[in-house]
Amino acid sequence: MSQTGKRKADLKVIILGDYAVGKTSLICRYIDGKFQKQDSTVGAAFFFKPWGPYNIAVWDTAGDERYSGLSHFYCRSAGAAILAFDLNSPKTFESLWARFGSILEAANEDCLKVVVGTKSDELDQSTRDVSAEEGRRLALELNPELDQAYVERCGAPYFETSALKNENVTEMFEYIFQRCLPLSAEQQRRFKGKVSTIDLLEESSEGGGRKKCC
Amino acid sequence: MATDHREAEQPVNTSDSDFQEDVEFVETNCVPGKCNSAVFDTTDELDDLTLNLANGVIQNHRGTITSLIRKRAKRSNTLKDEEADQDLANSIASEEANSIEQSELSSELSEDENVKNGLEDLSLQDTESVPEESPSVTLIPSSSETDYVNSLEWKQQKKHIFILSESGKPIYSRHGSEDKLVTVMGVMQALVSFVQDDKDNLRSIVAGDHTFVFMNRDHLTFVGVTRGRESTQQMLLQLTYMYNQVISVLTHSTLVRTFKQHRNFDLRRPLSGAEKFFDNLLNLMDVEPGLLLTSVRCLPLDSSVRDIVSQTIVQHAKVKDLVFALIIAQNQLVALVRMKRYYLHPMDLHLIINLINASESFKAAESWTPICLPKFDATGFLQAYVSYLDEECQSCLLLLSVDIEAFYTLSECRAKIKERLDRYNALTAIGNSLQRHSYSVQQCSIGDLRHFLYKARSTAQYTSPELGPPYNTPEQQDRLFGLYHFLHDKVHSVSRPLKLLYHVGKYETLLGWVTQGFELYAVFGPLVTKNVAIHAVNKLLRWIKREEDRLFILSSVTF
Ligand SMILES: Nc1nc2c(ncn2[C@@H]2O[C@H](COP(=O)(O)OP(=O)(O)OP(=O)(O)O)[C@@H](O)[C@H]2O)c(=O)[nH]1
Ligand SMILES: [Mg+2]
Repeated sequence: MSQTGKRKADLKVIILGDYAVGKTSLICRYIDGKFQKQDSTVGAAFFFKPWGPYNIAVWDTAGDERYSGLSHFYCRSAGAAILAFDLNSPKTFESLWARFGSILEAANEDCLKVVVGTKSDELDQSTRDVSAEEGRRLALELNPELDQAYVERCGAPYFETSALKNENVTEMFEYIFQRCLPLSAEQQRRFKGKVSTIDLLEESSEGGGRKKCC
Repeated sequence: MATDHREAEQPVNTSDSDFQEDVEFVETNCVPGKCNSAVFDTTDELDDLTLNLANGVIQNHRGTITSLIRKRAKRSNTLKDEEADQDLANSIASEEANSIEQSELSSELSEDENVKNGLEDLSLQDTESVPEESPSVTLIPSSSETDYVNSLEWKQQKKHIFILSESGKPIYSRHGSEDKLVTVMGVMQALVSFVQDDKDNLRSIVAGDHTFVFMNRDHLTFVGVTRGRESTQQMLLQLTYMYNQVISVLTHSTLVRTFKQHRNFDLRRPLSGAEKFFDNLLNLMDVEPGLLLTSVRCLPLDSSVRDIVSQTIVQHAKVKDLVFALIIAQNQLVALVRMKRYYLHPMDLHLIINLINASESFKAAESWTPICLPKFDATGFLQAYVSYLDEECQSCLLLLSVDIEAFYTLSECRAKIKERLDRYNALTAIGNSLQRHSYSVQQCSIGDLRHFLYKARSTAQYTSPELGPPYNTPEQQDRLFGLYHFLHDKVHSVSRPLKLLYHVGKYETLLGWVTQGFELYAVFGPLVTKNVAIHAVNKLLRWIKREEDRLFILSSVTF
């Protein structure tokens, strides 16, 4: 269930990718702190998440092709777009260009595109089809405005994640938030310092999420 | 050949007259659930089916969404908005003009004759899909498909539903993967085309205890095969629901445009992921009488509570471009608020119920999804805001708008509605009503009455008690449903519609009664005489009348 109250989002994040690559699982892992069976998304689902003093809105879109027409709507004012593909399925990687490349043109110019490989727990490194280098290259191509220095300091917007094993999920989201809504050192101190209080309010990302995913 | 009632238990005594003495005996002025202001769009699909069998394309309500969007565009002058509107309006309206108006000349009477001839010529009576009979004749080439189609599991399914394209491409099959049914579907399409070559339409084939029913719409062929009690007419209604579900996912405009561009298009791609809606709809049709009766079941609720719910919606969802707002709990309607002048058709409501019934994903978060309601406007999408209101995910709020940008506004409406409904304990009241499981037939205190369906025609709503013994097993429920199909078919028979039907079966006595105001289907114990049954039914009507405020939505609420 969603929280009630004010809905002014400071950052809008959208997640795109073929059906069943694990978009919903990824988001629920981050927001609810757990992994559970997800039904395939219908249309798009809206999640809300505080980050420091900010509110983040996440649009989880359905991968089924028939909803493609709507993606430009979700993209329009997105500050960041997560492009998810299944590390075990090269087809879903190709889709990122083929299907979503044009859709992303509707996004803001400064929209951060993050390429995310999913289900890394199922990946066999020796037989993998899409190399990490390819993923990284796509991520950099999609973000021409990211300067070299930033990439060297913070890394490329490319992540290999597992919602199941909870690997790299928080890192990926924090990369986005830190880039789009940087917290000042002072804020970081304040909100990191408050983590325990926030925990009590059950708003932290890990552990006892306050709302169940169903 | 078209009529075959297959009343398994041979009727011992069926009297189906409008016999004078009994009509007088009956008190027709008692019409529970009657309402003068329309709550729903009450055009009856069965009538439609009879009247425009040949040109079944939905023509009445096209363009509604476009006109609503234009109105909206007029209101908002910002350039950006207008562009967006125009885009949307164009995409919705573009194909409207091109849509195909089918006008097949079908001489209905000769059809069956033709089918028969065609069949004999082709010697197709004994395809694999007709099990058990003369297995010696085989049309289907040997391949792995043959094994599958011949498997007992597949053959013994009670009902098959297929969707295929005009070129015979499989699109959907209820049982088994449609990939394995290429040949079977090819044969079906061959049959259809063969009859169409003579400017005629194949409507049904009866083969043994199976009935095949065919329906062609917009380059699609829908085939239903049943050995249950559904009549041809009732199967057509089910196929129409399937057609509506296709439209609901794609819109009529897209469907027509797609096939205009590529006659050989594989419709499975745009429909991928939608199979679960077809499956779920078919399951609903097997257990939910509302689809057969094209009517809506309301959650029994004190009218004061229902008023609070709908007034809360009116007050807190008064948003421009919002066409319908409704709350649904376990497939029952709790409240409906509509834009002035626009009505929701029960068939569309069933698609909405099917949407939320078929997907768990709405339970995780607020959702925003396009849905086309074919009876409302087959040419475009409405945007549906969907969110459950309670932690248990029982009461689902749906807000349907023509404005794709409305999500955030509607989300705020939801928050306010939830807060008020919580404060007035309305959600608890809904939960309690759900827990009480409607009502038992004993509460009507009419001896020997086992079950009934009552439909108020003017409001397109129906009520029925919960399924108690002896109908508490799936098999018995199935049988009961078969009895209702039988009764329903008899009183709605195209050639000889009846007002009153008294039927003594092997295990129970049935009474069907149709008036201007209502349809009543009642099931009694086996030894009930006609007079007793009619007497009981009158008593039942009075009971429903007393309860009508709770069982029906009798006043229409608008924004
Ligand atoms: N092993 C493994 N399986 C996963 C992981 N994430 C998701 N899955 C599985 O992948 C399937 C699809 O997951 P979803 O999260 O529903 O995928 P989606 O991208 O949201 O799919 P759509 O909503 O249909 O577009 C499910 O069966 C998940 O259990 C993961 O990290 N590891
Ligand atoms: Mg999903």
